[in-house]
Amino acid sequence: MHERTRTLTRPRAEVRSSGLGLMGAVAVAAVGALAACTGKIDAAGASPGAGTVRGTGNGTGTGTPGSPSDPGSPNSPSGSAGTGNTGTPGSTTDPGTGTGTVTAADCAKAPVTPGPTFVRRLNRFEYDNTVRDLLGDTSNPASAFPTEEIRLGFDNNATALQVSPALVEQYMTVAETLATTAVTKNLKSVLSCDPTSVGADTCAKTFIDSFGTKAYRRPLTTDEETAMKAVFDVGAKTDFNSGIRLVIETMIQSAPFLYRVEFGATPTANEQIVKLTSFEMASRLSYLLWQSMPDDELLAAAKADQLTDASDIETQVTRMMQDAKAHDVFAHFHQQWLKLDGIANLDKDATIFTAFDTTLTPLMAEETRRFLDYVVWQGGGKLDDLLTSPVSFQNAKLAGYYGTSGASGTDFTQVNLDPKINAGILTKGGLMAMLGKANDTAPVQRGRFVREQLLCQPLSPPPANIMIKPPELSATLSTRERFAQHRTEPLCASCHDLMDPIGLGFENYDGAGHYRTTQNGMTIDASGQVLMSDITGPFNGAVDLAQQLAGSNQVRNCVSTSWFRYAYGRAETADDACTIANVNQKFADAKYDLKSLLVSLTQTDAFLYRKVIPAGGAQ
Amino acid sequence: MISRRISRRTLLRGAGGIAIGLPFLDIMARTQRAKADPPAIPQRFIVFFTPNGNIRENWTPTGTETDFKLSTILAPLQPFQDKLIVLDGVDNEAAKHGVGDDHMRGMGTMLTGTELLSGTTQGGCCEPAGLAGGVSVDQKIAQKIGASSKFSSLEFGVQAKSGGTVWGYTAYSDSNVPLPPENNPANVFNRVFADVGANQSALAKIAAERKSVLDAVSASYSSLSPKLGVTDKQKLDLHLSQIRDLETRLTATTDVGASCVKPTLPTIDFNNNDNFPAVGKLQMDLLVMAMACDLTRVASLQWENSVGGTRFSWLGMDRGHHDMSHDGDDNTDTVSKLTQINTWYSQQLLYLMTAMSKVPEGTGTMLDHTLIFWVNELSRGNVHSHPDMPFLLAGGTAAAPQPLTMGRFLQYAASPTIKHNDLMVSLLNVYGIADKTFGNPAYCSGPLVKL
Repeated sequence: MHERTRTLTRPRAEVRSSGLGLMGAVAVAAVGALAACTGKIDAAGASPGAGTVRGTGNGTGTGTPGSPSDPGSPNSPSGSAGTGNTGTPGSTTDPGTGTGTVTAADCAKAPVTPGPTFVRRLNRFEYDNTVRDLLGDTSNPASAFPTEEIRLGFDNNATALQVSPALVEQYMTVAETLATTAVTKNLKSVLSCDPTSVGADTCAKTFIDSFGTKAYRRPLTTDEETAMKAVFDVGAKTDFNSGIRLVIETMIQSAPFLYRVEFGATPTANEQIVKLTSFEMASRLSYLLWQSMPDDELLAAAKADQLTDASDIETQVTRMMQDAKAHDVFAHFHQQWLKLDGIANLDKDATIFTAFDTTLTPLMAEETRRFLDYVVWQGGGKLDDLLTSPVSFQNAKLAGYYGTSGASGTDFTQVNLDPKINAGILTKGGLMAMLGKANDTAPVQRGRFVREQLLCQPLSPPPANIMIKPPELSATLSTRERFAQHRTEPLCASCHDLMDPIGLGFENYDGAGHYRTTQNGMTIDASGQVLMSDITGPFNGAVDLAQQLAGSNQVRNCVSTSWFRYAYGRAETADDACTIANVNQKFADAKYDLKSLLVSLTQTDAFLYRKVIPAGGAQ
Repeated sequence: MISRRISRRTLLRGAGGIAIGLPFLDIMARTQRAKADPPAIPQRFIVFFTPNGNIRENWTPTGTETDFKLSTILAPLQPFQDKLIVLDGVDNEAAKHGVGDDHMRGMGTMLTGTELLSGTTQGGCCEPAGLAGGVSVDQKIAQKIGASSKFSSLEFGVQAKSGGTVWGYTAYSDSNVPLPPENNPANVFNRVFADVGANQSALAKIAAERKSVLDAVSASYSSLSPKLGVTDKQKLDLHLSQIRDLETRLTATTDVGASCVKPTLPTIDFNNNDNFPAVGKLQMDLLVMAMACDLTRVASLQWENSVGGTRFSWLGMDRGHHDMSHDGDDNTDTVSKLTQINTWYSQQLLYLMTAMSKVPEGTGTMLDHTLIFWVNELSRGNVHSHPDMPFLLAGGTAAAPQPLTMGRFLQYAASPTIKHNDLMVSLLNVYGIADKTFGNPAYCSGPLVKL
């Protein structure tokens, strides 16, 4: 653990020494990496800190120029499970209220500290959504672009989104295709004037301004207008439409389209922290809530400069949450947070799981997708529902595989499963099969999933150079017996005690996601244990575990931290202490409602403000 | 399954019945007419990657350096035995160090010879890691021999997944800058061949338009960049430099090789597991033709990815490649299947070599001037090890500044440890790059002894 901390934080020593105590205390349980599985929790990031460590004047907070330049990793992955103090195995201290925690009440009086702000390139999902909304083009051209580097679990991390030669080339060829399609099939929807009646030049200028405002998500500068008119003129030598085509090609390869660039409002003398401009805020909102460009209403609000007050912004957020596009954002988040892409690539041994075949995998993926959408938008909307609801969505084929009733035909319908054996996302067949080997269950992976995705405790490494060989299959032993070596070898046990006793609690779900009560003729023992967490103690079976997780502050903080990383495209930093404290407080006030969590992320220092870029660079 | 005797017709026909061989290009004929002197013979380098380790006892030849017998896995390559150098006993030393799990380390060090960067990708064990920490040897070679072709290198994938992590890339233009493999043969075609043989005045018009567009695009980056903080500025500057590289590439004039034939657009469901062999053939056909047309001189062909889970259903296998690679050595059925998988990969290499051997060049064929480096991120899958890597060189370096003698089996004793960074130094030297070290110098002693 200490080794890992050093490795990850070496470039950012200045951050650790500035606000670390605060950070460690606030973000406990959210970014903690488990100590070398020896039971001793790293205290490096968890020194209690002294209440608030903020300065007192506006804009003179702890963030000094030269603070974190790389948001790719948490500045302190230490923090740690449990308490932010020196937890021991079995510690049950509530991570949300441990000593040294900065509370929302503290933050009410504290100055604004927004954390770092980075330009963000559109990822594939955002690119496709944006050209859909800008050009009416639903061809999803970005699906051919190279995959984003996944950082902190997500595909939208600001620093990870670089470009490769192949991508820059694809930006060009895709822009050519999109622009050609737009002028040949869709011109009327992008062109608001008639060149034959108002004249080609006038119409071109109108187009450059109106289309440009949408493409750049702000009005064009005079220089930009001039440059675009010059591009138009090159194409207009052929014909008017060619001029328009080249303008579109140019704009959608340009920096203001592909990147979200924010400077903030013009600072007054000595001002170091500023609000975003209304146009910048329009983009922040639309890419957070829709992962696409602002709509006309947002741009109109920006033009009227009505997107600087938190309350005005919340009004827009409430409106935007009514749009179907907000569903996509939750789906995209859940897909990555819960690593659900793995369902599509399930790979099972047909001689072991005879009822399974790969035609079930899209159905299992659809089941989880529909369930998560239902939880957020219809089924209560709470984290508790996500973890414990017995509802699912199945069709006849999937129900036939599971042996459940209530579904018929090929369409998916809502089914209410037996709550004694079904709880939320964790017991869904797709997830259980994904967390299964091709020929077996996978207690280690299942335990690790709970530990890392739900408790936000990345596990530390096993010893180097050991031969990792899972127990061979057996026709007589139970999985629990076969994995016993992990518990008896001290070398293995220190880490596997944190995974296996959780994973073995899922033994009622076989490696292909099917519920079972026996294995090799023996009744399955699905008892388990969670160590080193705020729900430390025994549990009996996956449903019991899910209910305990639903009551865990550690899980709640893990969800809010994951959303922070996804929403802001970066790791949390010391400067984000109050942002995190306020978000967690509102999450609690809303009884852990997932939609309200997203809303509260638009009301933070991190979202509403940015640091002034020093003259001459050096962020 | 693949005859050594392969007709030109076959060469130009993609699997799935898609004929890619069509009339010789006008542009080619014109180029030939315009030339007074025969062009210098191009030097080429190809990385051929297959994942999840190998089965050493069925891979290693028997015999001496010059008189050796190929064993099961390499037996398909017997027709080209005089164009092979089989290496046994070379370790990937760099993979034994640093962050990341064994697959990640093996993959990220395989062509870079240095440790991975820290990062947030958590593997099956060990410290989380980022991407590779250095330039890959193919790109280093491309800087030398690729500059005169339109594409300094091309990266081909065959269902190469795990993009976004170190498991997914072979080639790196620099530390932390992966060059993602293109899995879709149609995208390769569009990128590489779309303009080949097109109407010249149409091309000129496109080129003029692109220049206007890209000049304006460049201005959008160069005007913004100075106003940004350091990190953001670096990001936009990288984008800007790549636009400028693209502009250079677009204006490059290419001397089209005499054997250049424009393929036709491939259409295949390239992600379908069962199409894996067909996609592989299409990609190899496109690779060979890109080189025959001298559009590129350096390429990588990445089959699957590290931890690749392809189901070799066409060999009658149900389980995925990586999953099987974990089975113990006492599971003879699995050992046999993994042997079959790697034998199949030898057959693919045979196909590639055969295709190149059908392209006349100088007094020999393209194969004489193309060195293929077959690499793997692991030695043996079930122990995730990195000693005794299954490395192989194939083809030839006949006109290279420092040619290799092919047709050899080089064995190295376990002690002292022979490090694969040395092998990569030798590869650089072949192409006239006089470097004495590559990757992390701690794992490098100079050119590979005996090679």
